[in-house]
Amino acid sequence: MFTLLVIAMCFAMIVAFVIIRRLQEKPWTQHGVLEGSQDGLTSSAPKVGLWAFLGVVTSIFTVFIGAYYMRIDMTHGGTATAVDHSHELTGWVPLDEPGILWINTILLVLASIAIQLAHGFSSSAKGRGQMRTFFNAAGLLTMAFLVGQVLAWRELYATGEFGVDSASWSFFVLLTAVHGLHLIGGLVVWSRAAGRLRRGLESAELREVAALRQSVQLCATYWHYLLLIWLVLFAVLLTT
Amino acid sequence: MAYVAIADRDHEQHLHDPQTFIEKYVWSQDHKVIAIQYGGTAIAMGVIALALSLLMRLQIGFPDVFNITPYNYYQFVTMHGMIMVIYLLTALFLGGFGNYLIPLMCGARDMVFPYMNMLSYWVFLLACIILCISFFAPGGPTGAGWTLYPPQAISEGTAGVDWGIALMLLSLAVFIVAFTMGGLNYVTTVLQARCRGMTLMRMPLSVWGIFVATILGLLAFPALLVAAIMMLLDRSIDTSFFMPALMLAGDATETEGGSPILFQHLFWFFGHPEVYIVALPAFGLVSDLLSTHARKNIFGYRMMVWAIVAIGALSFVVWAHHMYVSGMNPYFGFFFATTTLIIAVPTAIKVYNWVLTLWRGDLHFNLPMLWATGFIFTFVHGGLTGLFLGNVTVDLPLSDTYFVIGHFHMVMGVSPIMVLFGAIYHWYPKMTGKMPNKTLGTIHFWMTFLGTYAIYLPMHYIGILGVPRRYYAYGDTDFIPASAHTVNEAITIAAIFVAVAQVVFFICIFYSLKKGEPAGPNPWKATTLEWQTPDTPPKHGNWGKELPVVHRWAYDYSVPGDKEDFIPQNHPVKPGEASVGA
Amino acid sequence: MPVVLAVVLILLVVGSLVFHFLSPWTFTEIATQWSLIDTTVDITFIVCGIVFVLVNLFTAYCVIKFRHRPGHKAHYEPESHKLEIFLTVFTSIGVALMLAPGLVAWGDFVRVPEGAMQVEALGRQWHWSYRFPGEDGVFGNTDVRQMSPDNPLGVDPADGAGQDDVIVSQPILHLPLGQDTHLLLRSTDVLHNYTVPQFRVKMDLVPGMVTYQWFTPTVIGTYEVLCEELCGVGHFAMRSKVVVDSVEDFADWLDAQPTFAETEARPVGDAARGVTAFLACTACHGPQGQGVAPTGDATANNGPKLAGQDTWYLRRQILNFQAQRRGPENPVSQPMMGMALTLASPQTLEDALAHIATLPDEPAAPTILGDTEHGRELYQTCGLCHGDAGQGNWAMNAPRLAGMSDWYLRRQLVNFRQEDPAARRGSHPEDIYGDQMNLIGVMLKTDSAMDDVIAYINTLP
Repeated sequence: MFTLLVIAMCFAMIVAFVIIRRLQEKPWTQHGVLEGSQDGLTSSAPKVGLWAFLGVVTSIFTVFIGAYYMRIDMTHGGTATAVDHSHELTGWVPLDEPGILWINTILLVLASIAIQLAHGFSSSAKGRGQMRTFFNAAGLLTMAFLVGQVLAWRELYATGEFGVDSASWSFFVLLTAVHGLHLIGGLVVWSRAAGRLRRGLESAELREVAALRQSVQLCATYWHYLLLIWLVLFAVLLTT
Repeated sequence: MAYVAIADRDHEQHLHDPQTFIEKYVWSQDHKVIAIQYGGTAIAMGVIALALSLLMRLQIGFPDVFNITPYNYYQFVTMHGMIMVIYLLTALFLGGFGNYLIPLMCGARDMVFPYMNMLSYWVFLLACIILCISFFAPGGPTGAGWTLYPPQAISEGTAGVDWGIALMLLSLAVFIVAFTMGGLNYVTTVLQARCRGMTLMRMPLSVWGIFVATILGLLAFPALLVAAIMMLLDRSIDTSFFMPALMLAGDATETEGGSPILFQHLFWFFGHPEVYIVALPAFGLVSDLLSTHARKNIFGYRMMVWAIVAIGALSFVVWAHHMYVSGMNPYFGFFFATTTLIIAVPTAIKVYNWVLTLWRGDLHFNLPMLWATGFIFTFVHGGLTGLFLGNVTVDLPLSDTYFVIGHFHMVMGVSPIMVLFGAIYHWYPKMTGKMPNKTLGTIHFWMTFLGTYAIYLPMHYIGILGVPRRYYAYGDTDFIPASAHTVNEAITIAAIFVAVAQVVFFICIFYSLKKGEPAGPNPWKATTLEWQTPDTPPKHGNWGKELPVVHRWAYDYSVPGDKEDFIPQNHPVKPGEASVGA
Repeated sequence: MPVVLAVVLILLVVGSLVFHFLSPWTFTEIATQWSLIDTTVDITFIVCGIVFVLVNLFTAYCVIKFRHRPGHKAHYEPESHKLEIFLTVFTSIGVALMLAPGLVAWGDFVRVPEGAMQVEALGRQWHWSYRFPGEDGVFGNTDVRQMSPDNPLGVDPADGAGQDDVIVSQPILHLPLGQDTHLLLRSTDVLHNYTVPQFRVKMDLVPGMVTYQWFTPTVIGTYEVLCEELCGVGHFAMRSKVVVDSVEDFADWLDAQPTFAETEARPVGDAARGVTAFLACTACHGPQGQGVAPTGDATANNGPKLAGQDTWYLRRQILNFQAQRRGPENPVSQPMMGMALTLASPQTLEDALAHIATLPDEPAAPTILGDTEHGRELYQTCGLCHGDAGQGNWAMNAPRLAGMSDWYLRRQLVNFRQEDPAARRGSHPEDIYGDQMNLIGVMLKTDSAMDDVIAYINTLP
């Protein structure tokens, strides 16, 4: 419950902070075009859109993690008394996270590094070849990560100790699946950009090139973000 | 590369250029067309939900007459509630009005992601279709109550547990995808696509209301999605997210350890901001209606913006006031009662400011003004009854009674509907170029305003008596006198009356399309940008060759020294024009 | 128009006040010590009432005074900081005035007083049961997996503390006047809520945990219990009663209730001995318990089929007839009261039931025709308790319907739906299960609806 409250407070603060500064002005006193006080953010629309979307994704993961902690709390029999204990002794049974998860983490870190390198090469015309290489590498490494995640699920399921009636296993699969789905969404965008890159940029219009470069940059932001989410998830899973 | 605002790169922005009928009106990327698509679909869903509510009322008011079984009754209750809250109100305020007004009021040509905007409508339509399919699925739609609490929502004793609940949850998930796509548009457009001179504090309150509501939605809907996913898993593969060890209808379940209260926390973490997602746009829109027709700036604009933001932020920390009697840790009651009553303060400020806008104004009782005044009355009533329910101890006898139903209908059903109709009549001339028929609109107003009050005022009192909600029938219950059953009959009759009154609305809308007086570009003499478009209705791209430039805030009405009683936002400062109230 | 509008607003304000003060629909007479709740409500009404009147009258005033007239102009005033501060402070005070007593009362509600008597209410679809901790003052552990027709509350027989728990035999709770009562709430299936309007407090029942409410009854009387958390289609029919007794009467009542150990020690029936016990019943119910259908108008000698019916249901009906909870309302059922007394000894009763359980179970011949398609739609509701195949369900307290005497089903539906309580089955104050059927039975609004649903039941295997 408190996790949700903490989340709520953070949201409340974000909302308030973005806006509060504006309230000092008295708009009926200010006439004219007010050049320079446009107070638009110094980013392009797709970037703002992506950050807004990342806000939504943050919300979904924080709610999932909040639900996870609440579930652990409630499994220990929160407010149950001795009067009712249908299987009271089954408390939270923590999972033994399979070792492959560490490998997967490294893969995802490498993917982030690769895509960051692609980002770095995106602004120069000469680096296009390397941009393409690193961009492709990022995608492949991410696919390897996803395969590794599925292997982790199978490893756990094969031990026979966990199934749908195990809260820890259910949550493990659910959390990693949602993260994986977001990665797959990213891969869809990636594949379009990668495909376009493969066809070669020599004959492309300037506008298209700029759009592609922006796509690479936005993908990089998204990848780093999902890596951060994974690190948080992994830490949460390891410590419970 | 240095950033240049979209407004200044207008020549670079390539709007989608539709040629064929299908491109212009079906697969349209024009925010105005999308708005009308959203609006039409939402209203159609609303008509379905209205019919369901009549069926419910027929059973409650006249239990011996109509062939309605308990199984069906609970299906009506559930679908009525879910459709109204999500598929009508949220879709119409944000998808309808948000889409139409934001680019126009901000001086943009369209939303910043028009293709995604178009997709958001079609995905919304898909969500509606999935929900409607549940009416025809085996077992029918779910009868779990719009709150869908487990375990009963996914247990055999509830209607629609085979297909209905799964289709409902799926439909909600699809809706959330649609909402996210739309919401990213609204937020990014407000932040990035305002024209030159349009600072945040020069935006009309309509935009502020919709903008903050969208932020709330983007952050709150994920909680519903999470709850829906976990419930779907509990239903389909027997996980135990929400299901403890149970004995259902004599059979022990395989589940154990789950918590039904976890669902409630997740649902209401979404559910409370959701009511503000409906209310905040209404607050914003009504501010503009009052201001325009009172020829007076909205009183205390800064405070109004602050209040919208404060209400939005606080809405995230009040959710468990829906759970006072849920069995959650009772100590939480202290915290949530306090935050809930705190949120009453900015809300009250807004009410005072609306009324103070009328004070010393020059009130023109055009059609939209009638509805705006009706809003004030009904919202005051509904808001005040909220104070009863928010106060944890007072909630004890009133929870789950008709008092709650009276309260939430007044604040979610009646007052936002007053705003919706007022807004539709207000912007009708801009959307169609014709004036709405005043006679028909006035009849519609009086029937709806008086009729809804006749429905909901007495309902609070039978709630105080203790008449419970979500009851198919009362039987010979001692503490419910025969007079209370008579009240239910009267409420049912009033409900039928109000439903019939909505026919007048449709007649008015369609009649005025054909026979309405031509409106001109700015018949209400409003200051905001949407009335300053070169064409009425605005063409694709909204502004013709040049984007507008804004020189003043949105409420320069009756400025002293000016011979007109309004100065549009894009009118330049005249030499010698003083800054009043500096 | 503005004048009309203003007048209407004023009339609505006045009308609402008049309605409020004249309304007979107000709180029930309070029957516990929670008068602080009523006081808080009164304070809230006063504060909110004042705001309601002031704001709306002021609005009406503005509507008239500032309506547009030729030459009239609006005043330009973007804001008034002082006014807004004043209003904020004023509102905050009003809010605090309402919140303070509320929080104080909540503090009382959260902390159960020392020495409160504990009672448990178990809610399950769609019934209530009650349990006291017994002599040792400790409730025995329960386990959902232990629930059965003979152990409906799921008390764990392995836990010694549960042996002396008092299991209330009818779903009606008695409480002593003036005693702080700590009502523990437990559910074994879905969310429910235990509400007595006169007690003012309520709380949900949550499966997987134990919740509570507490109160001190202050007025002797009988009060209705309602479920107030949607728990499925039978939610509105989930009823019970609380009887507040004098301390002496309560003690007598409690003594008369069996302990868990006693419920477990029911005599085992002997089917062979049961043949003799059952002999008196064969005249009307048939030598094989197959039932004797009425011929023409005759209402004598027509007992329904007993073979194949659930033992727990037969037992309950015999006990009902013995205690006259059922029987007096209907001339046809009156003789059953006397007949049931032939099984007055618990051993004889169990023997007869054991014998009935051995009788061959042939489906009774159908005698009623109707629209089975319509009947199937209607049966959607019935089936939630009685089973999709009409096979009955002990957990729902629903007897088997399929293959039983259809003319008897019809007669019982008619009995349950009687307008006049004196002629209605289930109207006896202690017959909660019968009363439930009354609540559900009204869904059949016409005679043909009854026939349709019975015709459908006849098609069930």
